[in-house]
Amino acid sequence: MTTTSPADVEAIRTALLPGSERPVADYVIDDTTPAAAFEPATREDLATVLRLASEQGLVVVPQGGRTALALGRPLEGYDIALDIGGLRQTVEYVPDDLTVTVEAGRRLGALQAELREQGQYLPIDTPPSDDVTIGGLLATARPGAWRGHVPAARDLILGIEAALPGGERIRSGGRVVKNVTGYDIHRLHTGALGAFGVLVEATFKVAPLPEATRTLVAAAPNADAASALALRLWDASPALRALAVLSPAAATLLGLPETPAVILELAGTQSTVERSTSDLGAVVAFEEAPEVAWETLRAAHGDAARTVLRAGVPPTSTRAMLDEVERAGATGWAYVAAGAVLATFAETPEAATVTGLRDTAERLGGFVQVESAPPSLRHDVSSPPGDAALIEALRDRFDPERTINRGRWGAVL
Amino acid sequence: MLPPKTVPTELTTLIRDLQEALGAENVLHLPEDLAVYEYDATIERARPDVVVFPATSEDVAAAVRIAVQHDVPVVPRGSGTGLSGGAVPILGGVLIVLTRMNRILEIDADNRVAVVQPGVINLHLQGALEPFGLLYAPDPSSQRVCTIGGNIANNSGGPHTLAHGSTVNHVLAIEVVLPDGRVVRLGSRVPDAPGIDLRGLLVGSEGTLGIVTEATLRLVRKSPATRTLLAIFESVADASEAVSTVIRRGVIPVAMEMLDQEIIRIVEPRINAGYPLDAGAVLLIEVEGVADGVAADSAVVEQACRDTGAREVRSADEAAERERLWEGRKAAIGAIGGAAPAFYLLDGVVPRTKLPQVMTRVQELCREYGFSCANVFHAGDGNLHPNIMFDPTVPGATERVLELGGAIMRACVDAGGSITGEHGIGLEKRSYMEWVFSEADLEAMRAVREAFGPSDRFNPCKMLPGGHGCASGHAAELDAHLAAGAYV
Amino acid sequence: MTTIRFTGPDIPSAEDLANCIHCGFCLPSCPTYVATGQELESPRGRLHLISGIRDGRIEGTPRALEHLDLCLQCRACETACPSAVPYGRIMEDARAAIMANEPAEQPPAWRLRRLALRHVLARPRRLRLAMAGARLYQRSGLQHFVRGPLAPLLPSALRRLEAAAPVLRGRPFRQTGTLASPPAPKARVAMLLGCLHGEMYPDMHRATVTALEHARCEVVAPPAQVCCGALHAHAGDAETARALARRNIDAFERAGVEAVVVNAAGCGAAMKEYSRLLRHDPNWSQRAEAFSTRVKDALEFVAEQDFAHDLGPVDRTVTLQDACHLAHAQGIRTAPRAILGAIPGVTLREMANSDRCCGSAGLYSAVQPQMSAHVLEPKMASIAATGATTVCTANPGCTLQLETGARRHEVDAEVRHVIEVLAESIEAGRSR
Repeated sequence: MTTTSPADVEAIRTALLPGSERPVADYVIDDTTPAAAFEPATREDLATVLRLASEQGLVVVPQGGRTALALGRPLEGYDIALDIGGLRQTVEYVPDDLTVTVEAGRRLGALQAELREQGQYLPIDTPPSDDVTIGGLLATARPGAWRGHVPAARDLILGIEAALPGGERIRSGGRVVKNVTGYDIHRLHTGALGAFGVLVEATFKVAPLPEATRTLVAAAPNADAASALALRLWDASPALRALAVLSPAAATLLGLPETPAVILELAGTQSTVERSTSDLGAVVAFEEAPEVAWETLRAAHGDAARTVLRAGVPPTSTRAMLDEVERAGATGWAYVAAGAVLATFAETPEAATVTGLRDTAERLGGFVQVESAPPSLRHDVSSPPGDAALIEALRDRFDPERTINRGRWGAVL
Repeated sequence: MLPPKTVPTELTTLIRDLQEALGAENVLHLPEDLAVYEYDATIERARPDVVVFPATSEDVAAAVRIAVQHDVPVVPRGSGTGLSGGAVPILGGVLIVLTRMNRILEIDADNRVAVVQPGVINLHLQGALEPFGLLYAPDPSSQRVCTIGGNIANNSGGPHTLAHGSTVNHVLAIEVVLPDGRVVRLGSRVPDAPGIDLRGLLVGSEGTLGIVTEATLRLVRKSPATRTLLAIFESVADASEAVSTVIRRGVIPVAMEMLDQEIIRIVEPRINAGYPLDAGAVLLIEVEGVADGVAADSAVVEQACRDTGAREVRSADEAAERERLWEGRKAAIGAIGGAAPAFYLLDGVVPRTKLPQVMTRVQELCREYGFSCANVFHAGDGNLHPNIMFDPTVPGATERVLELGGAIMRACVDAGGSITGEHGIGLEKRSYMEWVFSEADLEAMRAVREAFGPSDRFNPCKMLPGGHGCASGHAAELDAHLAAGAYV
Repeated sequence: MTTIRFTGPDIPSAEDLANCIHCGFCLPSCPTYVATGQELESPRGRLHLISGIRDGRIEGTPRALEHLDLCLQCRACETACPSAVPYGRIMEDARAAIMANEPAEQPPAWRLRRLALRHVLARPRRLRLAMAGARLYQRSGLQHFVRGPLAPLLPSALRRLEAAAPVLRGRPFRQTGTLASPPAPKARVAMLLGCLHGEMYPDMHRATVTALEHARCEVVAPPAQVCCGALHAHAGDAETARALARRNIDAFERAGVEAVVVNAAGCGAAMKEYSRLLRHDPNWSQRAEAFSTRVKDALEFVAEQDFAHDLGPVDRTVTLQDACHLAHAQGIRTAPRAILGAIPGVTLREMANSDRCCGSAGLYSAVQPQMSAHVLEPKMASIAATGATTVCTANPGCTLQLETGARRHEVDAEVRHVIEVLAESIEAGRSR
């Protein structure tokens, strides 16, 4: 843990535009209160916070919607809360280009509302809700129900601007939909939890809002039948935007009878949705279900108060993984196309339970990501960031003082 | 007579070490053998000191370690179809040719995954997937010869990038040999694994960060129905307007390709694709989906084209008919090779809405410089491919063409675009990088490169401007050998 | 180490070479590239070598010439090329420009080959003598002895060559003059008898006469005709090729025919290119032009005639090898299929890569036995995979190579020219 001297904070305070400071009580993470909290009004100020903090060896924790603070290992220090919410403008939106450039603090919900006016949307459903900021959804890159059906955040991002701990601001990519100019540093940032800088702006490819959507559900007599149906259907129609296999417990979460079930969403032109509905109806009898089901699942996935795991396994192994999740006493469901199996625990599980599930996932050719858990459990079971030597070498160059999110990726980072 | 070559002793030991590690039959070092490895599909320029043909990841790693010991550069090469000089060993060294690593290791049809070696030819993979009703979406126009490894190095696109995205969206995991000879696996067979996405950084890094020795690819199921439309316009401006109009009306076709009059007149007599010779431009548009959706979407596309001045819109549903329409597109740039002494193929990208304005500017610039220019490109992505035709035997012509190329790139950047949509920076566009990125941006990119290893080890002088021992000045890099022409 | 430069009238032209844009589309179509994965053995690589040797940027070392020599000249790259690079003639020119050097400068193997071609193929009497010897060898039982007890004592190259020798069936076809004269003929055509063809595969000629007669053509064989010169041109002996071309033009002009029908794809392709071969010869260029337009492959010609009447059933499951010089050099792919399709009882099962070279390539199988065998291997696998019991070809060289392949790889299939299967059907129709 670092110790913050009042002088350090004062240096930052005086360097920023007046009115940038926020009450620290609003920025507690894992019971730690930072020495100061700032919500810079400009990119320059944001970079200044990073530079001064870095010079003084302080730890800065960038945050926006504060929806994914229980992701990654517990912090090793927390001096400054950096609220990116002050940077929330849409910089450029050209509907005919299907591109939008926004500041990182803009909430997904606000952006979606703006896009909707032009009949477009950003096809991203990061949990827990549209309260996430653009910076947050990119830094965490958490997939939702649409993953595997529509492109993920990392596939929709065209370019970024990031502020580095040295105070520089750098860009990569651009604002055009196809571009191979230089290294895709924006992809490196996606899912990196801020390891290489704080995102201040991002450009995305957006999509036309589907003319029609429809959610269908089919109860299955048993888990085998549910899984077989899902594997048959998951990419059977280009109109599928989501498909989940529900365990009986997950079905009750949605107010459905307590049996295994398959729930899916169709999105597209009216004629495509109609045609797909009848095509799928020929396979098995579906009933229409309320769209809100997806928001329920999304919120459950993003429920930071609970321990939530996300396993990734090949689609054909989701059945086996779901069984293990149920055996571990969790409520589970699977987004088959992406091979994602979600598990939410009513009570905090033992570390051994989590490692057991991880062993199963790895045996099936996949992994387990801890989406949220109490700090002690995260400390014990969080995943390493990948090839340590390479990532350390990169972090040494972009954040040598480990100013941003120190400890999130483990000791060296 | 050329002066006799003497081989320095360091080189002799480098060759001997490589022969011992990979087998003498997998190492080339005679000057006349090295001569055919001095080019890619654009630029002929520099010979390697030695060429090796590894069969395994371990072979690649061994060759890299030997190169490290001897302190010489390493350049990876696939089929040599690159369009920016990326595989040209500008500072010599060891050229690692991956064509022998051409096995498809696994097709897991149920999970829509294929595992391949880097030397697998894109179209061969498509052929192997055919019986499963699956496809690997990236389809660069050179797909009948380019390798998956090369596609990954360049983050290759293709006509269908519009809907499916570039190569990076279809690579789940890669095995990579790093500049220190370590073999690492990045990414995972299942998407969204925890950790930092080095896979996404490696794809498109033009062989400067690592050499891909195995790739796990995402496959997609073939669409139930496909329709190809040919919309015939009086002018490029009208056709450009149609592109934006289609998108504005909420339909994203899987491909929207434009051919202007110049290229139609070159390709049509050779291929008989059915493009009218008196058309100002044609758009080749493809729509996919369930049958009813395809019908509805094509109605929208057709109306949008007519509203922007199309004089005729033809459509084809049958595979053979669609193939014929595409044949002209695929053969277009090659046909220029037979029609002009030489041409310079450019690759620029602009926001789709700026297409009419930039295309007009391109035509103005060509007139100004006195060259004719044929355009065939991915209009839906705003990805331009002007082909400037010229005669390199005319004194000064090559220099002026390069200047014109620069001016067109500048116009793309000024319109909010960029200097390459799919061909890469390579040697060709290093000096334009400063038009797009600030010194701080480039510094960050250099930092990335340094994190992987010394910048003069893997593919030196590529992508980033500057670099130790790299000649400066754009024309110096390309010189008169640009005359060979190039393919999209 | 001696290096060689291009010289003489046939140096590859800068215009031909400039058509190549280095795109590499030819690579996967090239059998030697597919076999080696090396640019050196690819069309693009060879064009680069030729261009470099031409301009003095690359030395014409024996090693460099070996890469040129390893080319099958199958011309599959021409089909694949989007820029219409005339690869076949560039390679022929390059070889001629090498052989235009003083004999002492020429690569020894090339020189030997030229001698053999000049002194045997171009001289019918010597050729016939040699073939008579071979026939005697096979019939006397000596072959039995050589393949049996003597085999271990022979050098491997000779043994391989011996094993590849064709089974000489029946009397050679040496007939000239009028070969067929049906009542009220629809056309008068002449047939090329070729140098080796009538000696090795006389039945192909008989079948061709049968087919042409069936199509109501009067068929003649001018006695003064000679070898077509294709192998000479391929080997860089442009001089001999031109001499043979002149004699043939003269011989066939005298016959006063509408078409010169050739049942060997390699010969037909060469004769269609006489116009180019003699383009610099003011006395002959126009005559060659006129001659070349009259040359027709036998299958091409028959498919255009009324041949499908009165055909009898032939019970064969066939697969078709597209002869390189038919498909790639002459662009003929539909005619053989149309003919096979018209024969009752014939089932055509297409093989994978039917237009990929079998490795015969004229003298290639003898000169480059290793690569030839390498190229043959996947071909036999594709044939075996079809389950066909007859492999149809359109060229005697391919027939020879595929017969060897069938023996070596134990593929139970006989090899027949498409026209032989047609003749079988005509005979079957007659006897009904």
